Amino acid sequence: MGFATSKAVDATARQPEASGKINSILLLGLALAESTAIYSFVIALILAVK
Amino acid sequence: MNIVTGIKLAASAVVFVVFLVLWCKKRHDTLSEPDPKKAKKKRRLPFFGMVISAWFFVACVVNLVTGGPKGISLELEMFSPRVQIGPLSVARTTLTAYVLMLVIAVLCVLFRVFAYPRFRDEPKGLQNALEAAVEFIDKFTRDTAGDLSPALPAYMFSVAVMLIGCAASELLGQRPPTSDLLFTFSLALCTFFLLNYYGVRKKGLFGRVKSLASPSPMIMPMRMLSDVAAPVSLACRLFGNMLGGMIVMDLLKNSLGGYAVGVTTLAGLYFNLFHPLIQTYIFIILSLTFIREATE
Amino acid sequence: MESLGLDITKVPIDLVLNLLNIVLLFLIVRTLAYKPIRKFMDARTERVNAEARAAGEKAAEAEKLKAEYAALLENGEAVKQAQADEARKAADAEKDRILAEANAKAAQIVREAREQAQKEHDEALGAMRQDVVDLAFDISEKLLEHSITDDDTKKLADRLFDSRVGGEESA
Repeated sequence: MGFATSKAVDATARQPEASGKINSILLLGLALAESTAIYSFVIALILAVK
Repeated sequence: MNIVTGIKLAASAVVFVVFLVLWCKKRHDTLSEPDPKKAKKKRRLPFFGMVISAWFFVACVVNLVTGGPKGISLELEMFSPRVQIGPLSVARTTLTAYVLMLVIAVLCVLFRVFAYPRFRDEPKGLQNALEAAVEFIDKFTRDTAGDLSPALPAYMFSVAVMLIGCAASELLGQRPPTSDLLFTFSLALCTFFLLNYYGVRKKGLFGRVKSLASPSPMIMPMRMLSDVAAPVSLACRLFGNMLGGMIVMDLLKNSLGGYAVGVTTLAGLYFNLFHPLIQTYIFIILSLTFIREATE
Repeated sequence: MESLGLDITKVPIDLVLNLLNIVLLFLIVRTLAYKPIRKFMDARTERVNAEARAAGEKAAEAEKLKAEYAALLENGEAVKQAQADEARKAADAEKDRILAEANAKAAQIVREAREQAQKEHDEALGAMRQDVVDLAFDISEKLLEHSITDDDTKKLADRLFDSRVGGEESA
């Protein structure tokens, strides 16, 4: 996720006018990348409460 | 009124007054400062002192009035506690979801009866906001999933309204419906049904099955599995994020005990407003992407 | 699975209730909020487009009329110019004609006058001649003392007069 953020910051530095679009794309990518961690969280919960 | 509580109250009040005087003095001293930022920096210490002592004071007062917390405890259930209604036993979050739906319905009726006849050619205020939202969702759906039917943006609009309502209900202290796996799973099931429906409508039943079998019939089971995994991933993502946010807020509130006066509000700004909004945005984008994939 | 916190036989109820909830919500929001706003916005776009189209048409018509009038004005200018040239030409022709007429008349008057002068000159000459003849006759009568016949005298007188007039003329 840090890597994705650094790439987004690079892209914004290259073209500051597109920073709005880059922002939304960044948020989308971060949420999707975080979802893998969330899946493990859910599975851990299911296993813990069992 | 306990002696300890009295001391705490008095001490915090005194500290607050001291910091207030210091702040006023610093403000008076730095009135001649040309740079406003440096002036603010000089006033920073008394300002924070004021904030902290005020927080402490208010927390003591609230504790005095409400009798303090019953001990620090954290209970966590994956599924919400159930409530008995007649012969059924439903989860509390389902009830919350129904209450939310009724609230949204009442708002819609009020809008239709009062605000809609007053629509003007030049939008202002509420009309402006609503038109902007409808326009945004329409354009978004058209861009992502193509022009399939006029009911699709309406469905996305209602899902967005529901999820924003769930975020609001978390602000009110209830367990939000989105932290219930069954609710998010029903939302994902609706998306699954929609994508199959549009796929079959666009390509015919045989065409849809054939598109599952391309590029080669050997990978058909894998394609079907990924097709089934799509709504499951949607449900799990939303559920996990909302449940995680709820757990963090609960932890914060329960660990601060009786002093959880202003801090939980500030943390709630992120966990109960911003985070659910991002998750609804993700949910809608992914639903539309799956629908587009199924109709191409 | 009992400690999972839910009764496994009650799961479908929750799912069904939630699905029902979502369907009801969709219907309510769509008919009460989404469709009216959509209809209003579409009507407004249509109205704006129609107005823009009408304005465009009016502008085009105005342009056409303006072009027409400009052409008419130019045409009028040309016509005026042509008419002015024509009038000038006619005036020139008229002038020439009048001049020629006047010249002809003047020449004619001069010729007539010359003829008249010549005729009067001849008349005067004839009268003079007659007078001279008569005078000579009278003189000769008186000199000769008898009457002379007219023919002889006339022939004599003519010869005399001619030589006299010739001499006079050459003098």
